[in-house]
Amino acid sequence: MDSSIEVSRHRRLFAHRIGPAVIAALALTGFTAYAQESVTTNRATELRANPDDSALSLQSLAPQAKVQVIERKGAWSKVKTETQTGWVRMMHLRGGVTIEEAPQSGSRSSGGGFLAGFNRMLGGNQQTNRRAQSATVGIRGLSAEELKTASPNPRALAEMKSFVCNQSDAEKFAKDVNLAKVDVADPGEAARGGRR
Amino acid sequence: MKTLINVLFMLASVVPFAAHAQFGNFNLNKLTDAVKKVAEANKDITESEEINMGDGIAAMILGATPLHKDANLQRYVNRVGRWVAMQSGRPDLPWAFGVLDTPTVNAFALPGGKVFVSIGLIARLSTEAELAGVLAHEVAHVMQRHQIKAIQSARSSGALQSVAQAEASQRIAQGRAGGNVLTGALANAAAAEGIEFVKNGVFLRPLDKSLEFEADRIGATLAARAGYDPYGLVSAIQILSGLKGEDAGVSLMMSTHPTPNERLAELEKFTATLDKFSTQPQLGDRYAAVMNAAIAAAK
Repeated sequence: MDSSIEVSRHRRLFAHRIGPAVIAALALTGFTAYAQESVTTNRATELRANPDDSALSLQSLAPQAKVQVIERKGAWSKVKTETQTGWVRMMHLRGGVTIEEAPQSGSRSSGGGFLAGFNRMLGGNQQTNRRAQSATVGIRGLSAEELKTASPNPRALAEMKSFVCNQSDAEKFAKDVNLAKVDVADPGEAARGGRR
Repeated sequence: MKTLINVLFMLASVVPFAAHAQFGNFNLNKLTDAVKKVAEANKDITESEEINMGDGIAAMILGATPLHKDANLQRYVNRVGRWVAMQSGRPDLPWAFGVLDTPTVNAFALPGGKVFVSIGLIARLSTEAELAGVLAHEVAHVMQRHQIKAIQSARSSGALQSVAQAEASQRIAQGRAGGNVLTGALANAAAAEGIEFVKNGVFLRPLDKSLEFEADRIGATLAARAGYDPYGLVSAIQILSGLKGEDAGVSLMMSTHPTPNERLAELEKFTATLDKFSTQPQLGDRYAAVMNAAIAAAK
């Protein structure tokens, strides 16, 4: 690890222009940048002032309206249209990532994840970076043919097992961030007239 | 007793076939052999066989694709996964979660509680709730024994032509292991059969769409039970919906699952439940900390 790397805060960097030093800086800050992809509404829906069905409607959006996702909160995505910013039900949107920068804290989900930061680890070179959104050039492993022709690797299997977590570790891990078990009925069983 | 009944039942269905094939020169040995094979194919798979089979399949996957090098990342994914799996009906399985070092976007579950997720998928997520949703979908497949049902059905359908007999497949697996004798977790017939199921491509066959939808529904439920915002899974599928299916890195996942849009439409039927728990945490901070550490460590 090199901790002396200068932290650069260029905004709107597209993945294919990111040099190694900048990637390193991004890695340190969690600051990531993406090319645009289109997210569209899949039906007529409302752009609301707050993430709530009863909140004021700012704008009626037609089906196939293009928006840019900024963050997510539960069932709702905060989006920018050409003229306004507001909330749309996530289920009314289709298509992946629109964000230009992921939140540094990562406290909100915008769908961009840590792709740019991981880019170099994902076998990225200039060509693969250009297609960072689908990172598919130079794939190794996990194709049907590679799986069928593989030789079993018992050593890697043993290594995988060395990382397992027992139940009390998992409970502690949950407790660390105040995650607790919640009683949630399977809605499928309820729908079939089962337990409710 | 159940086995005997199975044998008798199968005998009834095999006799006409055997009699036709061997008319005039009835070969009792061959018939008995065929009956044995069919009975073997229909035998219930025990939990320990299920676990061993998963070991064989996992060893094959790891033969094609290495584990990601970051031990902290591996442990983190195991903790999230185990916590989610503890909310399933099978909390005591030897759950093991592995991050594969491939830019491919995929995640899959194996019989007996082994689950893989690619770094290519992990890198696209932003929160622990999304990761929990992805892992919960896989846990649901194991909980419902979806793969075991698929394996049993494959055994039955191919039973009369090419039975994956335990000893035979173990011999084949030994040979294909490059002359190395399989030991430890792989030195058993079920593991050998697991290896065969990858070799012959059965493992790569898609599950029935309805089982994928069921895994989404139960997955969202398990994530909510674990205290996460169940929309994490919805968000992860949204991310998939933005990927292009023809890209090589996504094609295997796309060819083995219904389209992301179909999955979202199915999950939308359960909006009432999802909404009820949608204020539960997403835990983006903890996810970001682990990811940034992994990115920094890889330099």
